[in-house]
Amino acid sequence: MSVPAPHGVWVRNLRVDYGPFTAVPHLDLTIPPGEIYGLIGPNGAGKTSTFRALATLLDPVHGEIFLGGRDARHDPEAARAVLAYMPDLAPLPEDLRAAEYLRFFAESHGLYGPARDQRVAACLEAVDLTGRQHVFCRALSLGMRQRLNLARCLLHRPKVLILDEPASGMDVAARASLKEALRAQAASGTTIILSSHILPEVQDICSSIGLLQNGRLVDSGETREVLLRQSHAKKRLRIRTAGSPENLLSWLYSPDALPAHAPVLRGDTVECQFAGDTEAQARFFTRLAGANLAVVSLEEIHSSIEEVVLRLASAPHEPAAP
Amino acid sequence: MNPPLHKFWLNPFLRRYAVARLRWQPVLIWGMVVQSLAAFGWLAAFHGSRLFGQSSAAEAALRAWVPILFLQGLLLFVKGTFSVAVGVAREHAEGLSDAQRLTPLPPGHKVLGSLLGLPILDSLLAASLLPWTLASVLLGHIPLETVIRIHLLLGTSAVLHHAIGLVSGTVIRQKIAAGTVSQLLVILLHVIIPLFSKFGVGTLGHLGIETTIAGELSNVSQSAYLKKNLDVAFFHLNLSAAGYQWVAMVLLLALLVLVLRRRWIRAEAHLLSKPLALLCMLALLVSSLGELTPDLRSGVSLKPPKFLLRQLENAPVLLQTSQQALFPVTAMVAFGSIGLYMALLLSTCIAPGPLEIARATQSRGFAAPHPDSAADARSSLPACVAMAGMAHGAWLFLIEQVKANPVFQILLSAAPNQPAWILLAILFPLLSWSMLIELRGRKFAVLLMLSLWLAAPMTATVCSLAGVPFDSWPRWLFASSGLALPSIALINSFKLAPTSLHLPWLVSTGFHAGLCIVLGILILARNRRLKTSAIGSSRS
Repeated sequence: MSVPAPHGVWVRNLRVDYGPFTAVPHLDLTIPPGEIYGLIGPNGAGKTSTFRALATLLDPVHGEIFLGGRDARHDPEAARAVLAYMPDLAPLPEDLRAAEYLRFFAESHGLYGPARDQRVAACLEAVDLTGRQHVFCRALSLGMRQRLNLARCLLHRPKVLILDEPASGMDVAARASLKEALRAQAASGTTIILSSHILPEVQDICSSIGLLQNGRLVDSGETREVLLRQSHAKKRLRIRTAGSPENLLSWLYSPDALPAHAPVLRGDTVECQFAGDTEAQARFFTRLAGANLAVVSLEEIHSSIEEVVLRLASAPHEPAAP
Repeated sequence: MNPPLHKFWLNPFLRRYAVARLRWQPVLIWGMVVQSLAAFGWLAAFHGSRLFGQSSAAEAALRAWVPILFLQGLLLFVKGTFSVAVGVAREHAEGLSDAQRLTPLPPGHKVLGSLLGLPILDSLLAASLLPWTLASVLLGHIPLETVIRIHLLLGTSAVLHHAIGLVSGTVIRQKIAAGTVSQLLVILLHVIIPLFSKFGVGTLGHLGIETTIAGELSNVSQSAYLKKNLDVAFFHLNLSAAGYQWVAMVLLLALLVLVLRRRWIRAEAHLLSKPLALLCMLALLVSSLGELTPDLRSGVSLKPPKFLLRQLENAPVLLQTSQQALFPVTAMVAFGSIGLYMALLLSTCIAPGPLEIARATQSRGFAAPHPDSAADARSSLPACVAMAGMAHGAWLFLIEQVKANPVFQILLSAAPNQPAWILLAILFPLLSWSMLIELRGRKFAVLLMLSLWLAAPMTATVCSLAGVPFDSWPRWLFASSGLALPSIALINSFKLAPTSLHLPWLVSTGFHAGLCIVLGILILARNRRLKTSAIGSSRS
């Protein structure tokens, strides 16, 4: 058995079932401390189930989970002291004011008196809600509620922060402040694992990402590397010629152009898909140069994170192992 | 660092609910309503007693305390329990309890904070009536000891009711349903259970405190109304009713706190662990026996229902004995069934469903799950056998205790084989019930078994009342119910019924034994299939 990471998130053989339905058949995950990790996948991929199991709120069928060096399955109380979880559209008590809500959680984490008040004020400031501390939670907008929940998560300086759709309902300014707050937390050594449907933000903020499909981690690693790998899996080329692009288009339909295929004319350029490795690509370039088409430029188009997720969503649905 | 448990005023849950529920507007409005009602109740009772009852000032003040106690009871038992059940169910439904569960506060602190915090407005309103109590105490010259005893009972009973509300809100998780169930439970505790408690489970009859409080008041009253014997006969002891009731309530409260604690640690946890269920069974049997044996030995207080009296008029054995035999026999027959009903209730709490068993099997070969989760997923059948043994043992103990009574000597001489029958009559229905839960889940078991077990005797009863001779097919239908097997075993043994139920009982017991064997084979086959698939998936 491997030695668990002393900090960060360490998951092995995780399986989550809802009755007869298996939401996450098998998941291994290692996230070092100070990392912001985005768990990306289409709806129903198993992100929320994974998060709830990590947060000790869902009893998995099996698996080992270590959060900040604490065994979350055998000692959930110890793990809860170092983790914070913010569910998607987390509820707030209607009968409390913003500051009262934070004070309750601060006291639950053992903070009383001036230390509690200072920490509550700091967290309200971190999420830009200082002026709203006396407002009832029921009167806050959706974005403000999300920020207040984030402030609740930051109260006890968790070692592991699990955020399910933290940017839901936030406007541009609020999202910018969220990014800032998360980066500051990560810089202090907190491991952050989040999911979001606002994918460019994930690409921007996460130092590493994992692609989840049908409860299985399809790819995981540094954000750039993952996107590059996924781009190579379904590469696209953009070619511009000095002459008429129709000539290039007709050449791309010829057998000489294989393994390039599915060419599309876009203005004065042609885009095509390429199903081959680096050597096949080099041979393709040689043939293209010999075709006398006066190629001006040739570039590889990388898949955006949206395209990767769309591809995952449209991939055939493999049934999970029973 | 979290504050210690005894510094409850620092409990974050209590403080959170105090902040939310003690805002000046609701406190002021409710305070005015409650004080108006209290003022009316106290003054009307005081002057009414003086005017119409020709009572002395002291007696009138004592009587004026009754509406205050009634109002406190309404606030604490009805409104308070409702607030707790609805409050906790709403937090579960909205998902707030997840955030609360994630705080590192120990589960005991969370339970205590919720228990004291959720009904804090109602407790405060009840406490605001203390000046009226003080007026009664001073004018009525009521001894301080009585006042303390009554308030101790009232307070403990209130916390017990709130714990019941907390459990119903935790289990049901829909606020309207939880509120309704909590109110039904209050009615059950105060009205229905006391009516039936004399037929075997006397302890439950002590959960409503009205009788004891009335007895305490009558002790200090100058008039002779409501004079009662306040002692409880428990085996060979005579205990004070208030003390006995207080201990019973505290024990039940401790059990509910353990249930809530388990649920705070793991939301999917069974309400009771298996050892705790066995302990509950033991406690219920001991407390029931404790109150039943003195009654049966002296043979004075238990009365059989009238329909049974009519039925028993032609009973062969009883014709030869006195009518005195009727009440102990009714209690004996009821006690045989009560052992089964208690065991059925407890086994429903501890039996794992098929999904739990499947999960536990699939997790084999991987890191061990949480010990509580593994313990919940273990089969409940050994515990069921133990509970059946306990029920049987309790029944034998009851026989042993009462056989000095000459009536019983006649009865027992007519029924030499009853011990074996009663064991089988409890064991097979209990095992088939638990096996069905383990094989198909609780909902399926409740739907199938209860509808058959209840429908069969009800149909037989209705048909025989409608004129179909009980001797024909209704007796077979009646005996087919697992719930009726212990009673029928005893009726047969004591030759109480003119109609022979012996053959139908034998067939029904045989059927339940066969059902156990079939269900056992199905469970073994299912477990083997699960193990094979778990080994396959762990290898892959």
